[in-house]
Amino acid sequence: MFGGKKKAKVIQQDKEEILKKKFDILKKEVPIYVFTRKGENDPFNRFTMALIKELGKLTPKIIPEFHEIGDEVSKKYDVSRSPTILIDPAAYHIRYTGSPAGEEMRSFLDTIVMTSVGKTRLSSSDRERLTTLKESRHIQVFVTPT
Amino acid sequence: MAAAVASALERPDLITAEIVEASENEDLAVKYGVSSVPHTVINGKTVSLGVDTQDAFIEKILTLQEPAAGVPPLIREGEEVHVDIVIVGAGPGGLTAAIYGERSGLKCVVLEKGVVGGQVALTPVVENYPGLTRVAGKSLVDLMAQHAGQYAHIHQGEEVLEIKPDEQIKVSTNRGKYLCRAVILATGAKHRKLGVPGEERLYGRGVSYCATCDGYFYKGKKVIMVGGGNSAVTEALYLDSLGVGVTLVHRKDKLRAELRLQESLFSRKIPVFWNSGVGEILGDKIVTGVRIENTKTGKTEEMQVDGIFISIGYEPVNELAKKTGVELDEAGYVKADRRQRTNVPHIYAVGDITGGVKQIVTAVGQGAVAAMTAFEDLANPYWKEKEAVG
Repeated sequence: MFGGKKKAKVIQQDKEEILKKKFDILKKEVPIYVFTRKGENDPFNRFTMALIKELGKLTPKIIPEFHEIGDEVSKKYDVSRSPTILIDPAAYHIRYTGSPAGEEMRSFLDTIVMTSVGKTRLSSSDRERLTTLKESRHIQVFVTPT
Repeated sequence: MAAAVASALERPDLITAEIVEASENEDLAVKYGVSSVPHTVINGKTVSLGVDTQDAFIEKILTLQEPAAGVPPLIREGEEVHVDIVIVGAGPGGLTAAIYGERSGLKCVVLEKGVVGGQVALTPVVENYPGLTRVAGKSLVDLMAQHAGQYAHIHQGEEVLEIKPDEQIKVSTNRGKYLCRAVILATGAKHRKLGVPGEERLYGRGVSYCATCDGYFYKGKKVIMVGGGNSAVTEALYLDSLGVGVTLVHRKDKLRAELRLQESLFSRKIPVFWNSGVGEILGDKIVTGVRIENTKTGKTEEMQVDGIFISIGYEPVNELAKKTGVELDEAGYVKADRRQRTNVPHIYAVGDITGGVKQIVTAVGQGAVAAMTAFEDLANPYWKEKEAVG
């Protein structure tokens, strides 16, 4: 109407409805922190910020927070790569180093659901075995969008 | 990856999970020698190249080692589980059989020794599944698994070791025993290997059987795709569209792939080495080249490449069928009639293990037929009728 070009959304309209339904079961609020630095992976920074912003609009349970790398919060969580996403960092240590694009989007959304609902898909025997762990573990899984 | 995140949620006091987008963090990918995905590192040590079952992944978290043979049982040791149908394999055929079986009122369990989805999970794009004009193979099997999971239990990482056909069929797995009335074999087919020097040694280090999984790492690099069928040409087109410099290497002077795919290949000017095979894969720690042999002249030449993708067809996964006394054809595929019955009463076979055109739609169709035939046979045993008449 004003002749301005409307910015394309990351989440298509038909997918919004599906996601709203998926998020119906969310229980606990999930703070999602996005960290970016201008000049480093800019297209992925833009995608990640838009994605988290749009997810935050679909449900009040997702609480987006945006930070620049170098600020106090990024120092607190030792974030140096752009973009980085932290899921509920006060409670858990789950980090996405890079944007959850393409095929990775599905598992990213599952992570949000598991975090909020407080239930994982591990079998009861695997959960039991994990209780025997005594030392710290840093797991890194390398993925691509395909 | 889901298991990594789930573990961090279960043990926030000790476990941190980091999902690293390799193409946006090339320095990290290089540091850990990542050339295929998923690639998992725990406490700085690479523990797996490829998808793990949940049990195996947890074992690696606990021990930082490859798991020893045998995983803890999901069902109690010694316990015998009673079901109507045991379905071996969770590809499209097995998953469909579970949906149809349960909807007929038969209790089904799907046992999958690897990960759900079969070959389709590794297919970049599927364009011939009716109703879905273009869908990623992984997305399609996820949808099927979610659907089947609403009806039946799907056990990943559970391998069937033995099937003893009888009035009541005994199925032994690495986790326990099942007593059932019918078995549907959907064990599928696996990638055929070239069987040349360097192939095993450099697997995951430049040798790949999955362009969907690993193509990304070769953006701007040079690779060959070996094969001439639909899969090879589809994957070559996929690599080309990613910006990978791909050359097709084929043993004959014409392709087996669908005409439409061939047209795309030629219009994109993807080079083809005709009448050529790979004699050796070269490289110390990673692939640096291949030795190409001309199948007509016998002449060999070395070609510098960063990767080799292999798509030369499949071999039936028939060890279990063989052990069970199921009749196979000369190529090793299970012989099944048009109702998917094998020669052994109450044992059926569906999908790639039965050979034929090996399409997702045919596997799905056969899955439905097998479950419905099993339903009929359990009510009216066809071989007993024959005996009575005879």
